[in-house]
Amino acid sequence: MVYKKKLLAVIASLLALGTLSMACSKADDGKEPAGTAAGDKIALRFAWWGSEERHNATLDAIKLYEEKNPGIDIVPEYGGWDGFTDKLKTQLIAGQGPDVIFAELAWGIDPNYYVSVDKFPSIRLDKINPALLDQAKVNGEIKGVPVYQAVNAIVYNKTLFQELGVAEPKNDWTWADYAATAKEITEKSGGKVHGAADDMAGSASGDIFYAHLKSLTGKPVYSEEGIVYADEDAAKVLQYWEDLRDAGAVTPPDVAAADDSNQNSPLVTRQAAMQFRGASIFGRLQSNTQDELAMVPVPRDQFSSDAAITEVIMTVNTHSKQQEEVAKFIDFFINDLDAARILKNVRGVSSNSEVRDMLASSPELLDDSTRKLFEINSLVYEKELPPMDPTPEKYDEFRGGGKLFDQVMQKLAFDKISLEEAVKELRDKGEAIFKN
Amino acid sequence: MNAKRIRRLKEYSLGYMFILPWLAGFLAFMLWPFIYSFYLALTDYRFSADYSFVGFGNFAELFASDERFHKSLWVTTKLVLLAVPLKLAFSLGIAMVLNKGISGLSFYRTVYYLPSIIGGSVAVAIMWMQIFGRGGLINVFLQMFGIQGKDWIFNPDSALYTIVILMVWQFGSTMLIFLAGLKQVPKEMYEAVSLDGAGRWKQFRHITLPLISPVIFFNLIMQTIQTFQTFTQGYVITKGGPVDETLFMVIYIYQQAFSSLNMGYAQAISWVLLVIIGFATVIHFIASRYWVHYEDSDGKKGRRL
Repeated sequence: MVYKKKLLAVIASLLALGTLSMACSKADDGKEPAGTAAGDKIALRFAWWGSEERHNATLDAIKLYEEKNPGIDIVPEYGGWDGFTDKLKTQLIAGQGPDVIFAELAWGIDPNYYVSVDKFPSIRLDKINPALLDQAKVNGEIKGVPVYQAVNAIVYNKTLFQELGVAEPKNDWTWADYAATAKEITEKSGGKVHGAADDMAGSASGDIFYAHLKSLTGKPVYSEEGIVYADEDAAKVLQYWEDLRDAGAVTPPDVAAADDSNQNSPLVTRQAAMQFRGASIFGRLQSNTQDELAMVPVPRDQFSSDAAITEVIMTVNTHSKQQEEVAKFIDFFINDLDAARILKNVRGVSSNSEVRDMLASSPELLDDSTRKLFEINSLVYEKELPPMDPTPEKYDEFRGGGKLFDQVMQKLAFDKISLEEAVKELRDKGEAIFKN
Repeated sequence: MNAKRIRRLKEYSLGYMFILPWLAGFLAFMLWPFIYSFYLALTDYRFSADYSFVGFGNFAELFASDERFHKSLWVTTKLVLLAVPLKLAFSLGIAMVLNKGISGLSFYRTVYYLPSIIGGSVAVAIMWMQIFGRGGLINVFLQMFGIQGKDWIFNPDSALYTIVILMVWQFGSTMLIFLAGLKQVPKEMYEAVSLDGAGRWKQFRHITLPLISPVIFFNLIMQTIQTFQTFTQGYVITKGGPVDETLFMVIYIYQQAFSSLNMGYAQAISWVLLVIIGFATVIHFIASRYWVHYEDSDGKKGRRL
């Protein structure tokens, strides 16, 4: 009897040990760059972030690819934006991560984790906007296919403008016009609505600072080595925003801090009538309000602030064991017209001219929001556009979400530091970051 | 080896066999990371293979020049000093009300415990914004008196306090422990002192408090340790902002480790946190000699360290 009990105990603990070691070996499997065959199929891990609409379109496109290529199994890994970059960074550094990557070069991930896409003949780049391809280059190699032509815009609440009887902004307007419009809205609404969101205190602070400074000086803001703007020019830009704050023309800083570019955006809660944003989130903002939203290019000064902007690239993980297959999938995702009919503009206006032409001639595929996105995109991109400044190493530490630039701008907006201190802190701490 | 020793060894090995699953987990997932983390704290490890040993350089930088670290130290300390006493007082109060023998006790117990379970979730974050946001419940209430409110969560002057309130609201587990403690207090004692003419306050002060002081002590220690490690509440609701007013140490550790990839530096912060928590616990134990009363200790107070 005792013996039996002992035997049982031994078996039980062995079983427990077994599960434990199985758990361990499972973890090891994960470590192995994906691409291990599931059955006879080649599995490719593919990670992206976004909203429900984007998820559904992407899943449909994947289904189409799997029908066309029965030997391939695309394993989707998707979710919201929160934590996406942190996760990707850590995975890549650990020698793992998805085979197919969506990323921005500005995230500060070592570009050596990406295989240069110009090495794959299966990825056709001839239809891709060359100005965008240029910006995806690191040391002469194209590190990924630009997914869309990014455009910054001022999104505004058209309904509010009409209710208050304020003239809507027009293309080619100036920062002086912007300030005047913002003040007019605050006045005419009796302070109930602020003219504009205080974007210089929010998550887009780095982008609007860049655009504003460019339009003022036309000179580079960043170089490969770090920051190259003059402090007195930066002070001019910040002074402009401080003046708007003093005049009540922009929202108080806590509104910017609460802004999630979604249902808490001051634009959709009617706290502000205008907001600077990447045009690709227009649809999301519109879906959160009954009011009609519209877009206009970013104001100019002596110079235009428009540029050909590569944000997100689609690329191949160096750790992937199925790089050829990944390349074929990327080609499908970017260049295939059937895929484009499914994906439409869920990631902004495509970098591929053929896709753009197809969508332009198929208005039935586009809803109202995506048509507006299309319009502003063609309006800005029909001009000869200068490229963005190069991205210095450690750029993300300076300008990434919630990093130095955002912190200093928030402190300034909350009156925790003076304008001079803000400019100095950016200079001192910025240079310390880039020097390292 | 004689037969006896062999038999004893067999017995031991069976014991080890039983705890093997735990032991393996402890060694692989606790002890080893613990040691390794201290080693990393002495390096400039940034996840890549080439890193160097910097001795106590990380610690020197932390204390000498890292303003955000100083801020996170201050903010975390403030949180602990505010949230822990408030939460203990609040949960003790509720526990005493529940101990009055009201009907439906198990229902209330469950209801009050719920916030502790869902505390750090996104749903609560959204609810908190609905309450403390610019157009939230509080401001609607204030507006009835003609006071123009602000966004309480995203204002540097009030952000921390909304988190403190959230933590107090999650009083369920401490309340349950208090409730169990209160049930242990013999009813005769109250009867005896009330015959001697002691009022409610005197009963509380001289019977309840001394008799549940070990429970208070336990809750105090546990809550202090937990509150120093606050992460979710701050991360989900405010992400450490605005102007770093809710940058609790663990959030700063997370940011340094996974956003800026300064893993060695982040380890150094976590070791500072460990030392602080250890220090706070020792202080509590020393102080406990003067106020914690154990019934089995012949009237002596406190436990020896």
